[in-house]
Amino acid sequence: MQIARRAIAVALCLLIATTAMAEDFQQKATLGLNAYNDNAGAFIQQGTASISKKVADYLGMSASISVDAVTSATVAVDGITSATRPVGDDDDGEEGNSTRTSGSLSGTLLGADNQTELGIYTSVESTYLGRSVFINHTRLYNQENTSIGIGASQSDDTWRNIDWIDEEERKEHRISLSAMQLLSPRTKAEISYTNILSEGYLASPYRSVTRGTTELYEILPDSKKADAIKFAIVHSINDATSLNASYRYYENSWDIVAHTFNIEAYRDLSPELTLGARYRYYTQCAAYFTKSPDDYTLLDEYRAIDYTHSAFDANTLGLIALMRPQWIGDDARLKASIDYYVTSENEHIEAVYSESRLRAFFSSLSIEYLF
Amino acid sequence: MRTALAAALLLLLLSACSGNALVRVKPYEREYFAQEKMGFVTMQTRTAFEEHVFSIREGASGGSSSLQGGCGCK
Repeated sequence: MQIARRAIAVALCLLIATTAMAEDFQQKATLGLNAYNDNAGAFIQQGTASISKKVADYLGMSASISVDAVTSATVAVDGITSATRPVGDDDDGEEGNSTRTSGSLSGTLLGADNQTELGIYTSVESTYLGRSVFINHTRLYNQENTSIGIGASQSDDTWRNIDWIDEEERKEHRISLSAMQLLSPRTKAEISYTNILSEGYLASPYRSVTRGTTELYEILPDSKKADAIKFAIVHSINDATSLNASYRYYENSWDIVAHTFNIEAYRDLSPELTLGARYRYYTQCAAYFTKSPDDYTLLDEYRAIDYTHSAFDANTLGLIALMRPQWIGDDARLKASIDYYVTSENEHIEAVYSESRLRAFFSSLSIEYLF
Repeated sequence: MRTALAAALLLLLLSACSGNALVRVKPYEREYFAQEKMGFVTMQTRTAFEEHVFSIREGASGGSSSLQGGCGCK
């Protein structure tokens, strides 16, 4: 019922008609390679491809596909794809491998007064099926100084093919509002708000702690409401240098409050190369039902095994290169990045991963062709 | 309730946008915004991947303009 009410509210907002200038639909094709590995033994390689193309004056189409190859050194680790525990040859902690395939398809109406995108997304793993529909609407005002956006998505996911649980569903409904404003010829700012409602089986069937011969599996509330608001600003310091800073505040009905700070600086080293560096700091408190992993018993109503429900900090350092080499052509871009992610020491990480903290590297490489 | 308040805020914002009250940059002054390094997102592939990484490895999510679900992200 809550989701139905929210859907009606979004639809009413989208039906409001005001005159505005159309936003450009960027036509491009992208090929990408992403990789992730951490000290818990997970290694992910992801290949992605996407294309956005105008098929008529009033219609643009976009499609994307990604394939993740997941390798894990221990049965206890699930890959960055989050859902699937890598499937090994047996249950004795041997190395396992799995794949996830995901894709999206959307159409964008390019009216003279507005731009509306409607799409679907799906993700398939051996034990998890994810499906969602989404809609985004943006308008420009004030001679393109201001843009307002509204969007919504509805996910309907299913856990399946797991021996120790029945087929379980998880639904998520998101509404997002955003506004961007040019503040000066060198500065622009953006504010985004997201409201999330999650219902259903929200735990992970792979999270458990052992008490003697008893396996205590993760049990979480079957509903979670969350709000996130993010402020971002981009400023051109001089012709060759820019600064990008953002702050996000997040809170949910489980009493988790999180703060995220991100700052990036970019410098043109030549007409063909821009280098960037970033620092990100994340901190959150614990959910109201989180206890030490050693304190959970069969009598607990909720058991938060995953460390993401506990209090911890995380730091990220990264480098990014935006390249425009002559050999690639004027309409193409080559981009590469690498980031190092490390959490604070955490007893939940110790209980699940046998590591005091989580350390990870993730990297991206992509080539974009604009047409 | 929060959604209704957010929708009301949006409508208020829309009404305030009329009449060119927020025209601060003329079209011929926008050269810097055409640069890639001036985007809120400079590398879409990386941003999409790291948002997924962070949504799995952290308790928070949201606040971005991309809206897709169905990945099992928390």
